Amino acid sequence: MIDVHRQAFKEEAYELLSELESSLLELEERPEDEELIGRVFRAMHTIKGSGAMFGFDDIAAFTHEVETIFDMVRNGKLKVTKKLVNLTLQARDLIKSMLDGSDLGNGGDLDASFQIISGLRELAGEAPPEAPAEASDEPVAVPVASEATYRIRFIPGHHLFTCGSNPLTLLAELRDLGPCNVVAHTGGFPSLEEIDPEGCYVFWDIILTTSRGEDSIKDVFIFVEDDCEVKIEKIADYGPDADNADYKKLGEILLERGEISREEMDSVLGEQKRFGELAVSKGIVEQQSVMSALVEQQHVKEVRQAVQQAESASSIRVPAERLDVLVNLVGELVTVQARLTQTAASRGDAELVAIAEEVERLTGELRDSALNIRMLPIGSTFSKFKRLVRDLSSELGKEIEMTTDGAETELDKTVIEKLNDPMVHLIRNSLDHGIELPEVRQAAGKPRQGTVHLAAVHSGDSVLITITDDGAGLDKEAIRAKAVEKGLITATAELTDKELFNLIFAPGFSTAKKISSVSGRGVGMDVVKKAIEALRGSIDITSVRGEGATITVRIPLTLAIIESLLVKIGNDSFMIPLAMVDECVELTREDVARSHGRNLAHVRETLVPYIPLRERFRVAGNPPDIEQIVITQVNGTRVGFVVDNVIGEHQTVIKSLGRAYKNVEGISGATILGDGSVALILDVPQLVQSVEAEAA
Amino acid sequence: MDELTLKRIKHPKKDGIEELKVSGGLNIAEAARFREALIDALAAAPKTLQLNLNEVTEMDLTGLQLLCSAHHSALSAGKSFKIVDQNEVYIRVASEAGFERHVGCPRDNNSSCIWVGGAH
Repeated sequence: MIDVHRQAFKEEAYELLSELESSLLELEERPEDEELIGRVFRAMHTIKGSGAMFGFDDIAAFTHEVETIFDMVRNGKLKVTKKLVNLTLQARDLIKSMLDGSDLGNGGDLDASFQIISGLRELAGEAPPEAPAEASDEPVAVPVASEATYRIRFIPGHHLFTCGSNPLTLLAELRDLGPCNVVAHTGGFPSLEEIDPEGCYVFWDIILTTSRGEDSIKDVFIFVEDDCEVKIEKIADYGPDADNADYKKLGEILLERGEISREEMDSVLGEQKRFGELAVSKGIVEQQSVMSALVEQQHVKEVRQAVQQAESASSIRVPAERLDVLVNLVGELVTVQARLTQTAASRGDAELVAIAEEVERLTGELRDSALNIRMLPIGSTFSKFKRLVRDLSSELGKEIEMTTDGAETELDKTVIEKLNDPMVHLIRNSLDHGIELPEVRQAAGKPRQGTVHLAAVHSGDSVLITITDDGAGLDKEAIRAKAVEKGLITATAELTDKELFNLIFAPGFSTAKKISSVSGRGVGMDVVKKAIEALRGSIDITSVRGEGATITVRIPLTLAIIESLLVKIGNDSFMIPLAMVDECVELTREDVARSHGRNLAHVRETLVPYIPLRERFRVAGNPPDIEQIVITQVNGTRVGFVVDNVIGEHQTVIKSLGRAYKNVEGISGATILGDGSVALILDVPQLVQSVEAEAA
Repeated sequence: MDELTLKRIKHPKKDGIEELKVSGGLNIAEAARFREALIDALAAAPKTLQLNLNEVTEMDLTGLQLLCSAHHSALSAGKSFKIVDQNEVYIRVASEAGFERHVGCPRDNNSSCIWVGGAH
């Protein structure tokens, strides 16, 4: 049981840490933003509190130090500086590594924590901690209580005003703790002739809902407690069992407050009228007391309703594996449904067909919503990159700002995860090779600060992610020289810009003269391309020398189901992802004879190379007289695939081939057709690559 | 802090109304003076004392208490007491102090409480 809670805490903490990171980065830009400071403080506070509760004492102790500093910032005693943000970011990383290592009993790096704490204390103008070991022995604050409502009766002493105290500031402090209703009792004031103008006659009933606990309320009254009467009672909390929005009856509240006695209440309750009216008309209580009690009733009702609403609108946490199981099951269902539809149609039974259609409709809806559940906005990945850009630019001595667009664009969770590494590579490249040093930029008449813009946008069944920098752009001559040197092209080859730029995705290609720690080892770009292609995506570069470069990555929305073109070779079925298909043309025996075995087809005055799949996959039998060429577009080049027949479009649920077939070239997966047979999904880019490699 | 000035005006159009115009800071240092002025004005008012708070720049609890007390005295003298020209200082302080309410105090037998219906 404990493990479950610890796990839940870790998940929450990871979320808080990533929120903390983005808040800190924003704070660096807007150091005066109190809301942001508050957010940082709350994140630290929550990590500390729940960390201590679940036995992460080292984390709690360390976070406490950082929280203390931010408490000072929050109270205006300390200014937000770059140094503070730096230290806090380091602290955040350390907390993360403590969390990572917590399962291994690894308490985190004491040295690092000592350094960060010393740094922070120095900023705060305090003495550094005596020894690292003692830092983690610090008492940990009691975990915060959950929300509760308190009734406070505050009766100031008669001479409170003359002592220089102002109850209004106390009331304001209470309001800071949470939603608060204040009712002053004004009934007991003497007339003008008798009143002491400097005396205090008023007293208050305050109904306060706070999560800060009773002690924080007591703290408010700490300087006046000798002169005043303060009574604090907890009247409601909002734990799991408080599921009822109804609150105590008016009579009960008055009874609790000591305004009436039990006998009086019973005597009133004997009659069938509204309690408040009756009690007043009987002269048991003052109208004001009733009103104050009514305020309490209303307050608790409102908070309870708000809590209920928050609960019903909140989300639930489900492990990703369970979602994957669901999506897999839906995939199976889609397959079975296709079989049902096919069988029903062949039987010619109208009733069965009707049922099959109903099942088809429901399955379609189920498929869409199951896939939707896995959709996540790409924004969380973007904010990770923000940190990357910040750290890298200071490492490289460059001034770089990152802007983003379309952070709300949704993508399948698995796609987002797999997209992370290639994106990191691409951004590193932009920072390292693209954006120039500030002095160079100034000399070129550009602003000192470079910009990297990340944008995501939906385009059909894909998402386009663009990385644009305003750096130096790609050096065509350098690429050409390098490609010739590596033997990728001949010295006289005529290449379009696009073809030239595509060369940088070749394995081992790097034009950087010096290898830096950031990039330039020449392993980046081909790995990036492979990773993007594994996601059935494509990558494209445009660049103008001196003005910058734009890298466009096109990624399908989901990996689970794709639209594809079903084709046949002999008795075997194959799928070609529809997103890559341009057109289909016929290939006759005469066409083949005319091209003299060169596998080139004439399509509207241009030559399109094709790959005869029957040969490639060694399918037995003879091809029909008229074959079909499915022309695809891969990274800007058109390549045809020769098949026997084109059947049509198909919703394809992708099944992986399993470990045994992992290394099969040219096939990216399989699917099951309506009649139960298997169709293989073609890996178009890889097929083209391997054929090109054989030809070279 | 603006100095407190208290000015009595005979209402030009309607008979029976005495107006007390309060300007400046109404705080504990001035509470005694304010009380005297209220007593005098109430005595001078034939039927109604109206308090003009338009130019109040500061107000504390002693001020609020005296308003209530003046209402109390007016009721016992069979006169009425009301506040005209409330400005935001007055409205804010009354609301912060929890003086706004829906029913008057027990002495308020003719629903003339100055706080009822909010000080708005």
